[in-house]
Amino acid sequence: MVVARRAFVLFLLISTASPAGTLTATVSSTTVYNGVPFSIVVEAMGLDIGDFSVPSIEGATINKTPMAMSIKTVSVNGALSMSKTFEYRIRATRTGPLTIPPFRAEIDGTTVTSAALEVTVTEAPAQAPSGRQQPTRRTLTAEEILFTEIRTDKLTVYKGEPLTLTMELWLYSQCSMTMLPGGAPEVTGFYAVPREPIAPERNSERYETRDDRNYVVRTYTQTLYPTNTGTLRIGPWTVAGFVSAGSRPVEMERQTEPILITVEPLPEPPPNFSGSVGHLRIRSELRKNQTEPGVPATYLITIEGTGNPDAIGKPILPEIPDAYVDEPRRAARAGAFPGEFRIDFAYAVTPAKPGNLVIPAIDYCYFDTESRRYQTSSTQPANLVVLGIGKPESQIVVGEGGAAGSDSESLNGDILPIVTAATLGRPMGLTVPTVCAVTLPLLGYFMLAIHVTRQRRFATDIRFARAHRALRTGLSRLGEGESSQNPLDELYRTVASYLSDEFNLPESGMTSADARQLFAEQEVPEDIAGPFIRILKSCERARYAAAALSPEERRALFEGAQAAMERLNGFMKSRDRS
Amino acid sequence: MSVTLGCLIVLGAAFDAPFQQANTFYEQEDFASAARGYEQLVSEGVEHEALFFNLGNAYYRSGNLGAAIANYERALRQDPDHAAARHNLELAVQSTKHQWGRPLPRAWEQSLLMWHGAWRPREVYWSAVICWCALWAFLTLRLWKDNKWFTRLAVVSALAAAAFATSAYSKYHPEDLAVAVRDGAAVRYGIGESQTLNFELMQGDRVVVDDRREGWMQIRTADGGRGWVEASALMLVGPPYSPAMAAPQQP
Repeated sequence: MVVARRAFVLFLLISTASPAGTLTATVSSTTVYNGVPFSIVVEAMGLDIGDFSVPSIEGATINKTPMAMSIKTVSVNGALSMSKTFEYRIRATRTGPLTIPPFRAEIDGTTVTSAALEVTVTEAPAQAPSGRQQPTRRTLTAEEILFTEIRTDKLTVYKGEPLTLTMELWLYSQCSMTMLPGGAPEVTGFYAVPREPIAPERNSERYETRDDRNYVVRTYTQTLYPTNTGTLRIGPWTVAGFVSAGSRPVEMERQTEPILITVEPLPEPPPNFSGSVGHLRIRSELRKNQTEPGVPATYLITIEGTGNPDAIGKPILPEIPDAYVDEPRRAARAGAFPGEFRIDFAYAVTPAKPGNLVIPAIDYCYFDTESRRYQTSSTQPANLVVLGIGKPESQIVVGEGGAAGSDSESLNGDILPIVTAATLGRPMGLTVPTVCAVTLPLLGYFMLAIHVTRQRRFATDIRFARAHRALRTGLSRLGEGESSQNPLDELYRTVASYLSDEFNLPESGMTSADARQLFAEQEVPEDIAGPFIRILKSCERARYAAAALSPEERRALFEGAQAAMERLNGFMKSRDRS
Repeated sequence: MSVTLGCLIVLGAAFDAPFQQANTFYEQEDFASAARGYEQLVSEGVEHEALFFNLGNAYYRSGNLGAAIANYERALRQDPDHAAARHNLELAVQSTKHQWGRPLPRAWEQSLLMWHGAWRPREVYWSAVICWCALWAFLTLRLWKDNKWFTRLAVVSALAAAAFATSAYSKYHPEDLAVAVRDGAAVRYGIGESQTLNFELMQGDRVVVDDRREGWMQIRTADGGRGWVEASALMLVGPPYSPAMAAPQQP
C-alpha cells in the first residue's frame, strides 16, 4: 500500500514537472551560397538557461555575437518554462558540404547540446553574370546598400476588411546590419493584429538580385483592419541601424512614404446583419444533452476566422419557449495562425419544464471579406432533454450564477406594501438657505470684527476716544447747563471741556487766549475758531458781570456754542478722513 | 417663519389627497391608475421617499420591472435608510434576467466619501451648514478672546464643513444612474443602428450614463461593459423625473 502511494506521488511529481531542457538549432536554408551570409537560429527551453557555447565551423566563419535575441516565457501542459532564442550569422568560405557542429548550453544545471547540421554550399548564382563586371567592384552608394519598400495589397477597402501591409528591408548581401528598435509606421484608425502598437513580426528572409547586386531581403507583414471610414493614413516606416561591410559600422536611416487608404462604408446591410465583418465560420455545441428544470445547460456558439474580433457581434438566440436564456458570456482567443481568432459565446439555457427542448438553428449574417458581400451561416438545431425532476418553476433562478448557488441572500416572499401614512410636500429649494447659510455667518463675523477693533481702539487710543465722545458729551452738557444756576459758568466749562476732548488736552485752565493759540496751532479756520473765542470771552466777561446778559442773549450763546461744536466736529472728522 | 410653516402644511395637505387616492387605486389592484396618480404628483414637483417607493410598487405590480427599480432607487436616494425600498429593490433585481449590481460610484467618491453612504442628502447638507456656522462662530470667539481652543475648534469645524459640503455636492450631483426599461436594448460600439452590437440590456439592468448625444446614451455597466444605447430604452433615476407609462411587460 505504501509503495503504491509513493509511486502515485512520484507519478504526480513527474507529470506536473516542467519539461526537460532542450536545445534546437535550425538554419534558414540547407543550401547556401558561398560568401553569402545565412543565419542559424538556436532555441533553448528550460527554467534556468545559461550561456551558449558557439562552436567554430570548418569552412565557414560565424559571428559569435548574436544578431538577434529573444526571451519569452511559455506554458507547456500547465508548466512554465523559459525560451531563449539566438540568431547567429554564418558565411561559408568554400563550396561543398558544410557541417555545423552542435551548440551547447547549460540548461537547468545540465549541459544540453543541439544536433549537428549539414548544409550544402554552392557558388552564388549572381556571382557569375553574363560576362559583366560585378557591380560590387565599384563603390556603392548608401542608397544602394540599404533601402526599404512598403506596400499594401489594396488601396480601397470596406470598413473592417483586412488589409495586408508589407514592409521590406533590402540590405546588400556583403553587408550586415544591426537594427535599432522603433520606427514602426503609425496605423491610427486601424485595428492591427496583434493589438499592441504595430510591431512587425520578422517572418521571412530571402535573397534577391536587383541591378546585378545580391540583396538579403527581410519582409515584415502586418494585417490591418480599418475601423473608420474615409481616408486613413499609414504613416512612414523608419528603419535605422548600423551597417557594416567589414569596416567600421555606419549608421543609416531609411524612411518610406506614407500610404493613404480609402475606406468605404459597408454596402447596405440586410436586416439580420449581425455587425460582424471578416471571413468567418460558425458552429454550435450543446455541452450536455440532458438537464433538469432550473439547471442550466451551456449552449456554445463559436465564431472563428479572420477579421477584427472586436467587431464581432453576438449571435441572437431566438425566444425558446419554456426556457430562460441568459446573456452570453464571451471569450475571445487568438487562432492557430496570425490574424485568426476564435470567439465563444456561451449561453446558459435554463429550462423551466420537463420535456424536450429544441434550440433552433441560428442564422448569422456577416460581411465576408473574401467574397466582399454579405453571407449568412447557420448552426444546427440542438435538442435538450429536460428530465422530470428538479426545482419547481416558481423557484427557478435565471442564469448559471443562480444555478451554481449564488451567495447573495435569496429573498423569498412578496414585495413590502406601500406606505400610506406620509405627509408629502414640495421640497424646499436649497438656493436661499445656501446663500443665507454662507453669507450670514460671514456678515456677522465681519461686523463683530469691526466692532471689536473699534472697541480695542477706544481702549488703547485715548485721543481717539476723547475726540469721538467730545461732541456727544459737549451737547449733553450744554443741554443740562442752560438750566443750571450759573449757566454761563457751565457754558464756559462745557466749551473748554469740549475743546480739551477734541484736541486731547488737559481740561483745566483754558482761556480764550489759550483757545486762540490752540486753533492757530491746529490750523483751524477763523470762521470755525471765531465763535468759540467769542463765546469764551463772553463767558469770561459774564463771570464778573452776570446780570449784564439777558436770557435771550444767554440762549443765543448756548445755541451759538452748539453750532460751533458741530462745525468744529465736522471739520475735524473731514480732516482726519483726508 | 410661522407663515412659511403654514404654507408648507397647506401644500403638504394639498398633495395628501391625490396621494391617498393613488394608494386607494393600488389597494384596489388598479396598479396602472395608481402609477398614474403617483406620477402626477412627481410631475408636480413632489419628491418624497414614500411617493417613489409606492410608485415603484405600482410599477412592480404592473410588471414594469425597470421603472420599479428606478423608483426604488429614487426612494433610496431620498432616504438611504429606507429598509422597505431596499428590500423591494433587491427583490426586483433578483427578478431581472441579468441580476446586475449597481455600478460602483466614482473612484474619488469611493475613497474620500466611504463614510457618507448612510447619510441622507439633507442630513449632510445641514451638517455642512452647521459646521460652516460653527467655523465662523469659533473665529468670532477667537476674535473676542484669543484662545488656542477656539483656533482648534475652528480648524475642526472647517474640515468637517469641507467634508460635509463635498458629501452634499456628491449626493445632490450623483452620477447619472439609469435603468433599462425594456428587454434586449441593444448596446452598440457607436451611435447608430448600423453600429456593431456589443451586448444587450435586459429590463431592470442598472447602468451609469457617461455621455448623451443625439438621442443616444453612452453607458457603463457594473462589470465595466460600455457602449451606446438608445435613450428611450433607459429611465434616468435622477431628476428631471420622466414618467414610464409605456406598455408594461411581465417580469
